[in-house]
Amino acid sequence: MTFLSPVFAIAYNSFQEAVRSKVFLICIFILGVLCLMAPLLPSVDTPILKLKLVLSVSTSICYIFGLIILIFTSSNLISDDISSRRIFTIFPKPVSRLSYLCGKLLGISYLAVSLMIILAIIVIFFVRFTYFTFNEDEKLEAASFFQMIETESVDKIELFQNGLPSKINRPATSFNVTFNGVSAGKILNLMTIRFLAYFRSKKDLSHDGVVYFDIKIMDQKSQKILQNMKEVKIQDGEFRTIDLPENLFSYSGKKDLKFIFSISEKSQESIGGVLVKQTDILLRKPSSSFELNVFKAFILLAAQFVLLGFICIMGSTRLSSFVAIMLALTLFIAGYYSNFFMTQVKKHERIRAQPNAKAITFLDKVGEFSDKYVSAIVYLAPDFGKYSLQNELVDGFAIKNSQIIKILMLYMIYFIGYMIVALLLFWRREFT
Amino acid sequence: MIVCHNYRKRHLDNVVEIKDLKKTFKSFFGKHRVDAVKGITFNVHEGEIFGLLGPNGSGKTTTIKLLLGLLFPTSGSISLMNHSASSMKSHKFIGYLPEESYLYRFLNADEILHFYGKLFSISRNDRKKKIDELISLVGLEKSRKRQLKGYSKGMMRRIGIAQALINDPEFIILDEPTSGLDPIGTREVKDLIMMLKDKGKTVLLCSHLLADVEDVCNRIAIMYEGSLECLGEVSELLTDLDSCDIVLNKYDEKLNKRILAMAKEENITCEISSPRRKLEDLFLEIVNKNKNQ
Repeated sequence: MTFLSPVFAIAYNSFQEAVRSKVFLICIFILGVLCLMAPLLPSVDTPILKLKLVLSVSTSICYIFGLIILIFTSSNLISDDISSRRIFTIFPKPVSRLSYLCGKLLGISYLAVSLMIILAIIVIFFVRFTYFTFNEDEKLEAASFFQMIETESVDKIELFQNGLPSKINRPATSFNVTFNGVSAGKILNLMTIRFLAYFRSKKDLSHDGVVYFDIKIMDQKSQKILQNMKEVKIQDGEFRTIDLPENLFSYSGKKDLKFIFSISEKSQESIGGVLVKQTDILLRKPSSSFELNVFKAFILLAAQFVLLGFICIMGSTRLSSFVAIMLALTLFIAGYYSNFFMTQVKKHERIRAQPNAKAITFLDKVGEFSDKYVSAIVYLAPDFGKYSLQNELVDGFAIKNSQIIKILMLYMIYFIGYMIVALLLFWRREFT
Repeated sequence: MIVCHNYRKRHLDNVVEIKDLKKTFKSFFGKHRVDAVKGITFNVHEGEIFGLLGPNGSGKTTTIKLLLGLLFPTSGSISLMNHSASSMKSHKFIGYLPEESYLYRFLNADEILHFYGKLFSISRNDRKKKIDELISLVGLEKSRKRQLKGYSKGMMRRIGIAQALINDPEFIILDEPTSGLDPIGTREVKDLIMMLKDKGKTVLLCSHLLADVEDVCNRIAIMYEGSLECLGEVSELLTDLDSCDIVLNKYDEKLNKRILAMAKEENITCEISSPRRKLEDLFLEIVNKNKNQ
C-alpha cells in the first residue's frame, strides 16, 4: 500500500493534468475533421468498399492524432515537473523514483485508454453514419461488413503426389488439412485457401488454368466422412473462399475436423499439382460484432501509444522533452518499418555474399556498418505496424483475445526493458 | 498519525546529524567545478527551531536539498532521524516548504492536499479531516475550490505551508516561509512556527528576514560561501556581555540625570533613550483596531 498509494496518486494526477490541458477537445476536433472529410472521400464501386475506406481513413486519422497527443503529453510529464520544480514537493515525500515512474506510466495508460475509447466511439459513429446514408439496396449489400470473421489456422497438413506422400514446397495432387478443437455453437460456412497451381501444357509448365477439387470432410474421432462436397472451381493463385453447408457443424463442444482435398479428374489432364502452404489455409467463422472489434483494435493501439509514451518518459528523465520526442519517433519509425528495414538488410547481405561481388569499396563498408546499426535498432522497439492490427480491422477479421494477450505480453517485455533503462537514468538524477 | 507516535517513542536527541558534508557541482566534462558546500558539520536537536542563515549563494538551499535526497553528497554524511537522507523511512516524518510554492496549478486547494495526502498513504477519512483543519489553519476556506493558477503569491505560500503539514510531520523544513506574505500573514506564520514548537515538532527555518529568525529560533547557523561560519543559541550569540540595557517603566528626567552622572563618575559611556516599538507591532495594532471597528 505504501508503494501503490503514491503510484495511483501520481497516475491520477498526471491524467488530470492531461485532461485539464484540454486534450479531449482534440477528439472533438477529430470528429469534426472526419465529418468534413466524408463528402471528400473518393467514390468507390461497392458500399462495402466505401465502408472499408471510411474505416481505414478514420482509423488512420485517429492513429496519427492519438500518437501525437500521447507522445507530446508524455514528453512533458516529467520535464514539466522538473522545470517547474514541482519535483521538489514530491521527492521529499515518501515517493521512490520507481513509484514515481510507475505512476507516470499508469497515468499515460489512463489517458491512452480513455482517449482511444472516445476515438473508437467516434470511428464507430462515423462508419455507422456513412452506412445510414446508403439507400436500401446498398444497406442490404453492406450489412455483411458489420459481421466480423474469425479465422482458425491449420494444425496439420499432409501433401500427396499421385497418392504418395509429398514434401512441403512441392506441388501436390491432393492434400489433407486438420483443424483441432474447432469451437462449437457457431456455424462454419467459409474457408479461404490460397495456392499456386502448375499446369502441364505441350511446351512447359504454366500457372494459368482452372482447378477442380473434390472435398471431403471427416470427423477425426469417428473417422467418418461427414459429407462429400461438390467440385469447386478455383482460379489459380488467388485467395478464394469455399462455402461449407451451414448445418454441417451444428454440434456442441469442440471438434477435430479433417478436410481432404483432391484434384478432380476434370483437371487431371492438364494440372501437375498445387503448391499450397499451411499458413494459406484458414477456416473462417462469423464472430464478434464490428463495434467490439473496433474497441479491441483501439485498445491495442492504446497499448502501443502507452509504450511510445513511456519511451518519451524514459527519455525525459535525462533529456529535454524535444529530444525525448525525437527518440520516441525514431524508435516508432524503427519499429513500424522494422520488417522493411530487415528485408533491406538481408537483401544487402545476399548481394555482399555473392561470389562475383566486386571489390569492397569504402561506401560498401559504410553500408555494411549502417546495416548492422539498422538491424540493431529495429530490435529496440516492437513491430508497431504489424501489431496495430489495423489491416485485420479493415479487412473484417475478428481480433482474437489470444492475439491481444500475445501482443500485450510482448509489449510487457519492452515495458520492463524500458523501465530498467529509465530507472538507471533516473535513480541518481539530482535536482538543482 | 500513528507513524509520528512511533517516532516519538524513540526520543531521539538529534533529528538531523550532518558531518563533514561536502557538495561539489561539476560541469559535464568536469572542467568547471563549484564547491557549494565545503565540509559543514552541525546537528538539529529534537523540539527546537533551528535557523539556517546566509546570503544568496551561501549553500543553504543546497544543504536542504542534500537533506531531502534531491541532491547526493560528494562526501560526508547526513542522517535524518537515524536514517540516510534518501531513505523513504525518514521522509514519512518530514514536511517541506520550498522557497517558492511549486505546485500543480491546474488543481484546487482541496485536490492538491488530497494529492499530497495520498503520497503519504493517508486514508481518505483522515485526509478529509486533516485537509479541513489545514485549510482553516492557513485561512483559505473561501478559495479552497478555486484552481491554484488563480491564487495570489501569498495564497500560494499558504497552500504551500498546508501541503508541508499534511502528514503532521515531526520535522519541518521551511525555506523562506514568509516570502510573499503581508505582515499579518508573516505574523501568522511565526505564530504557527511557535505553535509547532509547542507541539514538540522540530523546525529548520531558512530565511533572509533576520528579524523573523531572531523572533522564533532557538539556535542558528550562519553559512558563507559554503562554509559554516557561526553556530549556536540565538540568545548567546546576540547577547553582548560587555554592555547592558536598563529598562525603566517610567520616564523620569531627574533619575536619568543621576544615572548619567553616576556613569560619568565610573568613567562608563552611557546613553539614555526611550525604547522603540517594532514596526510590525504598530502595523498589526492598526489593522486589528480597524478590523474590530
